[in-house]
Amino acid sequence: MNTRQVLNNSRFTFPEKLNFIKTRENHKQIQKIIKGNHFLLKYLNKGLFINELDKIILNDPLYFTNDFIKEFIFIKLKIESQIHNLKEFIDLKNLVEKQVFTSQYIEALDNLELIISKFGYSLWSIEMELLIKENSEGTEANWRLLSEYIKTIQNPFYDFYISSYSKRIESALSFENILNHFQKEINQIEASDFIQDFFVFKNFKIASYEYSYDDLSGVLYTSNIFSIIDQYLVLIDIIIFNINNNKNNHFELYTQLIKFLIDNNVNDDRLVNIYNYLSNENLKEFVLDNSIYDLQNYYYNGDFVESFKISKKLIVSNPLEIDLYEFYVKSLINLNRPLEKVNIKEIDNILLHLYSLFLFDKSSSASHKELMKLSLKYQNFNIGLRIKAIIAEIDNELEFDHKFNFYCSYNSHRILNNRLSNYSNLLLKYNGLDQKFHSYKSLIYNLPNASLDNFSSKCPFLEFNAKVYFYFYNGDYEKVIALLFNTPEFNSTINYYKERYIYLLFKSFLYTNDIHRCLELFGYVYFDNSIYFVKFSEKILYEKIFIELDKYEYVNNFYTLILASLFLTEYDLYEILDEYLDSKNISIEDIDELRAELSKSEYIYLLNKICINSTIKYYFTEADATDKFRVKLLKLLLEVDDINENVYKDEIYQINKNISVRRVIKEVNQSRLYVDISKLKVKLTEKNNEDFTRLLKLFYEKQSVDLINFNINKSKNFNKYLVDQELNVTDEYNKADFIAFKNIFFDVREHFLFDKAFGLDSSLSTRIRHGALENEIRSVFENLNLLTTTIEDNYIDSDYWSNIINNHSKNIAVQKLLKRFSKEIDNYCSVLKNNVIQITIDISENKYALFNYTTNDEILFKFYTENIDKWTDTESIIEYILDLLAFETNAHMCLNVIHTYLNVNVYDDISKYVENFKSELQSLSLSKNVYIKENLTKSLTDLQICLERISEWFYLETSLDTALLKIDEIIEASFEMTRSLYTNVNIKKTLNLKDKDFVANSSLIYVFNILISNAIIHSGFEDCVEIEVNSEIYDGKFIKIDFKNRHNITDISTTINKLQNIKDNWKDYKKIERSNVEGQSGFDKIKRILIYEAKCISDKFDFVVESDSTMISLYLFYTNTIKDEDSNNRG
Amino acid sequence: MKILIIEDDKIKIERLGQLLSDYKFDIKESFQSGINALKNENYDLLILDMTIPLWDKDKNDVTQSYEQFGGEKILRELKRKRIILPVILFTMFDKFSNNGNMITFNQINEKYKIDFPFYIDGIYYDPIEETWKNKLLKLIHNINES
Repeated sequence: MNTRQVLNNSRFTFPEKLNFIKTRENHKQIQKIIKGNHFLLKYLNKGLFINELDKIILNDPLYFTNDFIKEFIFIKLKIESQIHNLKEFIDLKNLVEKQVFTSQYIEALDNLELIISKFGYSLWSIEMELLIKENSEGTEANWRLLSEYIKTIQNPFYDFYISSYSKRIESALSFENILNHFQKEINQIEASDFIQDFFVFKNFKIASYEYSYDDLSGVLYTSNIFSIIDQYLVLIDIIIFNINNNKNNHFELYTQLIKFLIDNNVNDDRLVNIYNYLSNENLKEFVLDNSIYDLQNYYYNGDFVESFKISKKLIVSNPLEIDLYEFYVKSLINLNRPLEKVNIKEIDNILLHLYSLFLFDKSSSASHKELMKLSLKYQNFNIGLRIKAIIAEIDNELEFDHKFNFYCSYNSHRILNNRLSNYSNLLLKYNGLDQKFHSYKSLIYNLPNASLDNFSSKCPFLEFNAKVYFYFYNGDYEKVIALLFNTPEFNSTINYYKERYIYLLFKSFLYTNDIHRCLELFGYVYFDNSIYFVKFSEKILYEKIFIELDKYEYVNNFYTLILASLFLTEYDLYEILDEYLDSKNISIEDIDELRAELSKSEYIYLLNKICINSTIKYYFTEADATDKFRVKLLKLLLEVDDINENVYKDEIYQINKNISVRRVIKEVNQSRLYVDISKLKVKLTEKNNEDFTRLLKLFYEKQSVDLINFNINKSKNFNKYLVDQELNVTDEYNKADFIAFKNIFFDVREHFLFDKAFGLDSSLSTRIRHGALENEIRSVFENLNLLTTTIEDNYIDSDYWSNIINNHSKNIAVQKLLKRFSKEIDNYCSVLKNNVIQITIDISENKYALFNYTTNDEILFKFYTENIDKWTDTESIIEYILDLLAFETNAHMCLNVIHTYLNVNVYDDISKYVENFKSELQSLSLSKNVYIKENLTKSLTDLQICLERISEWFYLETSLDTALLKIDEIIEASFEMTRSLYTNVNIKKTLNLKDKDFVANSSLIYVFNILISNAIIHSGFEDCVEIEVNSEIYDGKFIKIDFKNRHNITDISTTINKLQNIKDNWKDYKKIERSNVEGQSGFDKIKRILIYEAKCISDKFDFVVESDSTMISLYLFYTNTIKDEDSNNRG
Repeated sequence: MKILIIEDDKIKIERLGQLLSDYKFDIKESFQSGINALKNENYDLLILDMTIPLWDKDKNDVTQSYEQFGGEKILRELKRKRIILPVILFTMFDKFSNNGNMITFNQINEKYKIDFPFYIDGIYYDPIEETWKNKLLKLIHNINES
């Protein structure tokens, strides 16, 4: 079917017909067909003006052709049809902008209303109203209006765009902040590339950004859905973008449209600039007040008083001409006069920051940022982009400078430098023979007709500036260097000039490969805080020395080290530091010797910014030594830099705390098992006194009469006993004294193992099985993204690998393997915890338990007969048995069986899962960037280290002689330990500890471990847990520790009931029966530790559960302080 | 021939130990202990792992600071300090992540041959395959001969 048939067929709708033309016909035919078809043109012009916000219907953008010209033509056709409306709109727009800028908000609103009544709502009209609100009433008013718009419009395109705009104009938000907000938001929206491009282009024309559609055809296409006002504004900006980026060369197409618009008197400055740039015909002239040309000449002739007067007058009548502002502030700076206001709020604000920027002093950086913000805020006005052009020129970003000159309202050199003869004639007409402005700019911009003979000025700096630039652009760098070194102008007190001179000198040194002088200049610039050096680029120097040349050639220069520190870290920086120290023949330990050689600022920089832990760690053989040396350096810094005293003291405090925390964790990890032998001895001696007396009696009686008793060990062999009658003999094992001994032995063993207060199982449960063991092993694989988590017992996909693996079917296969592997690891850890790291006194009940205290008559009898003579009193037999059990635990179980089991059996078992995973991955032929196999390989080494670390936990301590630690160290250590176990959870902590001198037993670490783990597990948040710990003295005798975490649970009544139950039973210290049961409340464990290990429990416990947080309050007896401890030690 | 092995993986150490039982060798398990040994002793060959801890296990930080390209840093130290001895890279990775970019074992091997004149070759250790053994022995033999 051809176009004619489609057009004549009434079954096709207008959009179908237009789509057919758009996709099938060539560029020329499209215009011809649509222009010649009244109905199509009418349809195309439908909905171009939006009269009711609550009934916004997005215009049909037809098919996206990905053909820039076609997309352009479709909008061009609409613009041509609406030319009279657009002309009128632009006139009113210019008026509103001027009124906004001169704070005539009521008038601006009236005219905006008029625009809306005539041309409907547009993104532009909404933006302008928000801007007027922000400027006249403040940000809250901007927010309120935005909210009203969003409620009314209810359309995602408008919502997203105007919300971004509203933020963009908020006075309190910085440029970077706005950019970050926008970036986050745009990453979250689910929109196609061309829609995202549209939003970026409309919001951040001034930013350097890579667009998916490099000629912006997608942006053009998306604009179709909005008002013709927005389509027009975007289209002209796109032409400027493409001209500047050399994207496509549809200059003829552009020129046709621009000429059409100019011929129809559309008063848009951009059109004139584009036309003059593209066309070979006569230049279009801007109609300017003649005094503007006078101003240019006065300024460049050095008549700053005159240029100041004229510019001040002109600013008020031409508030949107940023060049006038520039002349104004530069005249004042040349006259060394303070800023004078013009008493119009927004103009004064821009003048203030422009003046401050051109001062090039300490305040300039802030104003630089503020001007960036203002350029973004006023991006829809030409002045916003002109502000950016000034910043770009100062920053030496010439590409930007050029682009934003298309928003000029005068004939700019930047745009016309390829048509200079026409331009010179134009200027001649206004400037007369004395073309100061043109001659100067020709030299500064290196235009073809530049000549030093044509420029003279009363201002020596301007003349000097022109001369230096001229030689610089002509490649005569030696001359530039000679000029700048030998001329008094170089030492100008006006930073505006000096900043440029330094830049040109730097570049000249660089171009002549004089690296040593480049470095000296860099050092001078780096430590001179009085001048704001913008153009000076350390990066260029860095790349020259460190990439292009041989970095080692310059390492004896201190400034090479500083330069390196701006770009390098860790080993790379250490290497340069080491080479520098070598060149000075100084070791790191003697670094203080450099104090005499370096200036104070340099010495401080060296110690404070270069010799930081991440650099100096390569000098030391252990972490502690690195920390201690850093503290030494900080103490040296305290001697020379009292301004930063608090910073250094804070770092010293932090390092010392890290050392303590490291020590605490090391101690804790080296032995996690604990049985309080002395306490057990007292308890058991008292308890077994009668039994022991009886035992002695029986033993001595036995010498005369054999006393037989019931041997409990045989009770389980009843059947066998009855059948095997031949065993029915009275043997030694049934003798009453042996039975009596065994009763004592079993009682001691029972307490050694299972005493809730002092027994082994309690510490196994609290310190190893309660999360630590499985999480430590799991963390090896989690760190390498090899495990996934579960939701309702089902393993979920790993987002990490989904984002890396592009191939859908391969991703599914990898996810399946990951889930299986996760399940294998989790099941294995579960068995390890519930079956293997367990105590048994009867191996037939749990054959996997590694703490195997099973014994038999034979062994016991041997033990009994060998030792009975040594036992003189109850204490001695109890002590003997306890020591035996402790020895067996360490020598046989911990250091032998368990160590081997963990390092051999567990490693072998898990590595089978890993190798299996790896071999199945092999068949998937994953691409190079999918490094899952490498992670699996790495996991095996990490697993070895992890298992060795876990092995170290298994050493039984029998006395509680751990040093008392400060409460903040305990809490920090606890956070550190728990963090290493839950590597995928971001634990945010806030500590507010009022009495840091409170000291406690290090076992409190386990209390906090449980509390932090509970917060992670029960908070309902997957990735992030916020925990706040506050402490204060309570009632003069307790330290109250509030442990608060945010939660996301809906049913808080269950939590309240559980905690209430804990509170009700808190005073009953005997009620800790669940303290060694896994998967149960950790509070019995906490209670047990507070009673028997930390020994600081009080009868108070409290909690508060709110809709979004849970707070636990522990009240610990406040008896130990550092002072008490010190006095005890002295005593 | 006296060999220094800088390696922290126990299995690899064990396998190397078995293979090199005819040679005299020392084992260091971290960047620092390795560098110290190289500065204080004379070795005829260095067998070097790529990813190693900065400090020995008992001297390390809580987080067990690892040097992802620790092997390369050792090569750089040797070059700077002019400690010249033949070096063989011994790694179980066939690609490495470098600031988000993947670099293969072969690319790294070629790079080191250019950057470090004393670098002999790299050996990819596969726990299942045994080919690395012959390759390593052959390299050692060649070093011995030269």
